[in-house]
Amino acid sequence: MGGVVASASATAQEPPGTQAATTASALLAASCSGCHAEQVSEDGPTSLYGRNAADIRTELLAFKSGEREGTVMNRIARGYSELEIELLSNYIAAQWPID
Amino acid sequence: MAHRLNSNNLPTRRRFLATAATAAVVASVPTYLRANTSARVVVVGGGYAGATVARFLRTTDPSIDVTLIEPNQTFYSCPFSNLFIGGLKPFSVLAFGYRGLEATGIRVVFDKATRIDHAAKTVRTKGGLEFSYDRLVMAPGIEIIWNAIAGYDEAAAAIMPNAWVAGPQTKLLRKQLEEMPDDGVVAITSPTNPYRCPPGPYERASLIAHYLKVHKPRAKLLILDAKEHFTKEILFRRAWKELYGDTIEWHGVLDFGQVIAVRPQEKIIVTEMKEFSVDVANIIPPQRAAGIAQDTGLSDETGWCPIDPVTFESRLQPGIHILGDAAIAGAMPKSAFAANAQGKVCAMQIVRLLNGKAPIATKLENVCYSLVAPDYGISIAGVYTQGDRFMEPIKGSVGISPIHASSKVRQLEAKYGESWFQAITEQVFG
Repeated sequence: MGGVVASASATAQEPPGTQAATTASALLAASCSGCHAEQVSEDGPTSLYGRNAADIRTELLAFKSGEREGTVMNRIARGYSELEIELLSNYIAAQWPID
Repeated sequence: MAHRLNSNNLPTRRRFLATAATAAVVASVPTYLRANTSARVVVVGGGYAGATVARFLRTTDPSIDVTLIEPNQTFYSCPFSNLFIGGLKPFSVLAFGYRGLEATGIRVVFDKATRIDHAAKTVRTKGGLEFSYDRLVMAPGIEIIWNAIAGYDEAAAAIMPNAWVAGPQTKLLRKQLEEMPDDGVVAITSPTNPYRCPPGPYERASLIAHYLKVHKPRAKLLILDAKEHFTKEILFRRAWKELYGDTIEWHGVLDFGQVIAVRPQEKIIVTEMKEFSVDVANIIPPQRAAGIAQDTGLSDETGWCPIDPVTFESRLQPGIHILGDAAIAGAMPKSAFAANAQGKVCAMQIVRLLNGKAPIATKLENVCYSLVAPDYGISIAGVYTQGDRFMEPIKGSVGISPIHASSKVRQLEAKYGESWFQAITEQVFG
């Protein structure tokens, strides 16, 4: 799978399941929290709270392909490979314990 | 001054990604990294970049001793300052204190860093204090290059505000707009790239035009630009035409828009071919990395600081990281969004470096919203990869809002801009 992101960040190249891989995912997700933060107002972007990884991944891929029309998210999603989107989705979904 | 809610008081349901990112980072940091390293990191500058890196260093590795050195007890945000200037927000929305940072265990020192000793790894302050560090992060922001425009010095700024470092200058510009005659002329001058907040002068022009439309419809707004093109240009131009008719008049460099001198007492702005007599002059002058970066040998001949794009470490002085507007981040613009993203990534890289681990190259985003009227927002967004020498844009990711978009989309972007401002300030200063 490494070949998929040959020209992309090293983030996606860390061996899966290692501590370095988790840090790599955290690094990749760092920018997301600029908007998808706590105390997002009613008028703010979609909350990522409590969303499962598959949902997040599906939406990001839909933004990337243009199938779903957003505002900045179409542009943002095009910046990530499918593997990176998978890492991001898994990482973001893993941050909230299920109540 | 706005006192922000402490995020710890929030019910779990309210914890979105920022807390999560915080928690996330903590959760993600391998236990061996969280061993009591007792490493000392000093951060110089408490703006968006400095406050972010300080905060995320603590959450990534609570054993790190973090000192933040910042001269001012209150931080005034440049993002949203144009909304105050245009009369859409009170000044109080721009003010943030450092109690939230102190509550996380960061030692906040209200003093000015004056001298850095690379060999001894110490920072001295104006107040006579000295701090030792294992890693130093410099996030000093910009300084104005006085007299780059002939006659534009600190005394001139008291008459012709730049309002490019938020605070008293921001208030002065607003006051001048309010006191201006109803048929007055406002001029905004814009410098060549690079400078802090590329769309800032044009957002400011938009919101001043909005103020004039409502309160002084006979007034005019002149933009004197040292460039021939500017960011989000087509979106700004279309919005100006649609919303403000011929109130805004733009002169690019080929139309002799580049300002070469000012005569503040006469309120005259001089370009190569013409002199403009105005009522309010907002001079946005050329800038460079703030003085401490120049004095420390961190800047190159451009006046800005070259960095390793992965670690943000200075190319000129190893062991010192540079973030935010002072750094040369390649294609990444000098924005608060970029500063915040860089702060988070740099914090994680520093933790790895302190523990003898190799940094991991990643991607960072930037989103810059501009408000051109209430309920009318536009954006530029992009994803950048940490290349060998610079931050490089990912093909297809960097772009502006659609040229033909519904008013609903413009409204959404206005709301998202506001939501971003609330989110980021809460995350960093809350």
